[in-house]
Amino acid sequence: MFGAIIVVGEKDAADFGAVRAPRSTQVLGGVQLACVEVLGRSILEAMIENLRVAGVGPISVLRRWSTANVDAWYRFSQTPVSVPGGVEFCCVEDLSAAVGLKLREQQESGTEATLVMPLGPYVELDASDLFQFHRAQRQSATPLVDRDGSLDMWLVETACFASAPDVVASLPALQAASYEVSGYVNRLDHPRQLRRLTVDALTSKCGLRPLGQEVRPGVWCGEGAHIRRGARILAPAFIGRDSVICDDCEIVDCSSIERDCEVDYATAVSDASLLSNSYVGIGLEIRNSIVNGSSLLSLEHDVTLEIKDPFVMRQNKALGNEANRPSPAEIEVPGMLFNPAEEAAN
Amino acid sequence: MVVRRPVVVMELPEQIGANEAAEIFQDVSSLLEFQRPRIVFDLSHVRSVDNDGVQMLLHCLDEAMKRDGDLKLAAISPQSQMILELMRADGIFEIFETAGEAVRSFNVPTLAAMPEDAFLYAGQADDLDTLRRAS
Repeated sequence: MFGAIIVVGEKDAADFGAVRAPRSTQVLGGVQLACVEVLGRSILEAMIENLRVAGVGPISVLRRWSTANVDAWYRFSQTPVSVPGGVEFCCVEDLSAAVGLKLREQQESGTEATLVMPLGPYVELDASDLFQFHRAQRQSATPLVDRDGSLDMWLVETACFASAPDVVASLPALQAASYEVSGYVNRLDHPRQLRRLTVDALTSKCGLRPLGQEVRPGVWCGEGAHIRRGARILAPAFIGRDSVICDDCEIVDCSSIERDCEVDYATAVSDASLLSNSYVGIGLEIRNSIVNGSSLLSLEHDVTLEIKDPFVMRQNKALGNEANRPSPAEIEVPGMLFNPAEEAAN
Repeated sequence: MVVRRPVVVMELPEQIGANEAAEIFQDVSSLLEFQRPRIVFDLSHVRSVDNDGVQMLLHCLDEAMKRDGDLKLAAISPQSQMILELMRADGIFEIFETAGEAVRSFNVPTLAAMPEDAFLYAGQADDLDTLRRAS
């Protein structure tokens, strides 16, 4: 149908029209919100999967080469994503030139139209409807909007723009009939939107599905997630791959614990997200917040705290070390996610 | 004659770690030697509190309550509030917007604690014990 070029912007770069990554990049350790994992996969992966399912391809993902976030980028490009092959990741010096180059490559491979978009908002597109609209309008580029305005996404005629000198600069200035996206849109312009996306996904208000097995109605667990017998998980909730929830913990109110996390004894997590590889200590109460390693972002106070005490919060890298994994003797019945006392009372 | 013990307001430093917590507790200890200590911690300058700081606050409150007194917090920053919430200590303290409000709160007996004709005495009475004796 059509191809896609996804441009990963940077914090301070006006790389792509109005690529929005302002405060979100600061509070989440310099990583764009769309690059952090939500329910087991990054928004980038989710967007790629959405496009592939809609029959869009080939897909190129471009980012400016820089030292910042190389680790994160490396992980995204190396992690086996849950979409078929055919996705190309490129680190480039000049984003604008790279977009032009990819458009030429796609034109040579016979792609008629290309969706050019920044990595930012999470959008669920009806690709065939978009393509039909674009064809019906007979225009070189169709900007995508939602009810709140421009999404900085364009479906362009590949041939028209393959030889254009600066596609990135010229697209936002184009005047053309807009296509209004009728599907789910989350602009991810504030960490609060990350929580909203998590809640919407857990409550099936959008198409994003947790990566894991639904072990009880509304409770999803990634592979190797370890929930101790005395922990209490109230649906909907997500426990990511290789995460550990200790005894007497409570995970409630659409909370998500991403991969490689540990929630230590008797800590309550309510209406909160623990981003991957985070440890939270004993007897804490985390509510209406996002935890990223030692950073605690309170959505209620709109304040980020750096917790210096590693017994309270920290990166949980030690858990990734096989030597520190729980021994088989400690592993309890998989899928034992209910509180026996509570079940008995019912 | 009933002597009303003054409310002591202490301004806490910008950072409260282990060392500062020990110093603050040492300062407060002299106040905690008396019966019914009435203390307000003004946290308006506090930007960072760690686990030791929260433990110190709880310890001071505990010691004050043992002597039939109270310790209240005032002008707490969102950062300090977050730490208290994280450590589940936010519900334990009475927290006021300003030190003035916290001080005034020591002189207002709660309705539940007052006798039926409490308002007759409230203008003259110094504390709840007086009210109780009067009733």
